[in-house]
Amino acid sequence: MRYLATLLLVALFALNLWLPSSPLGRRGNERAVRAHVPALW
Amino acid sequence: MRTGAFRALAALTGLLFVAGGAALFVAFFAYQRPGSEPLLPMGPLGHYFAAFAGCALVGWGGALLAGARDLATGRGIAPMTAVALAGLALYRMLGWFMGDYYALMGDLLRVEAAVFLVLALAFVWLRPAPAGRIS
Repeated sequence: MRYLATLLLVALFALNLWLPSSPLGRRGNERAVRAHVPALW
Repeated sequence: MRTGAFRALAALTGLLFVAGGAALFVAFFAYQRPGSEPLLPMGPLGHYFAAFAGCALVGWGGALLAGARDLATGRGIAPMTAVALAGLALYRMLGWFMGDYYALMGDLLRVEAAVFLVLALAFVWLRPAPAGRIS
């Protein structure tokens, strides 16, 4: 069970690292912002 | 060694959660003052749920502090703490490519997700052994 949990967590960690180079990350998220959402900075 | 590391991990995480939860709870009341300007533009509904999350964090943090004192309690709460931490990371990762949250927080979302996943791994591997077994 401990190894299964580790596998899942490491897979999530790798996905988190890979996100910017994925097609989703390259799409340009800023364009999908809804009009009513204010920017913090 | 492992038990000492678990105690430190649970105590530090617990303290952080209690402090963060208290801050979210106080933010709700600060927001109700006439003419108040909130630090985060969450609106009335956002502050309502922030107060809810704050109370839950105080409870979760308190449980972790109890787990740091008593290893049997710590062994009991470690798995679900890891699950919840993974959940905190997962929704941040989703939020990263949903434009709304990226506009608000940028890559901070992915950094926070990485921190939560490392914490989850620590709770998985530092979980105290059952009573009577030497770890």
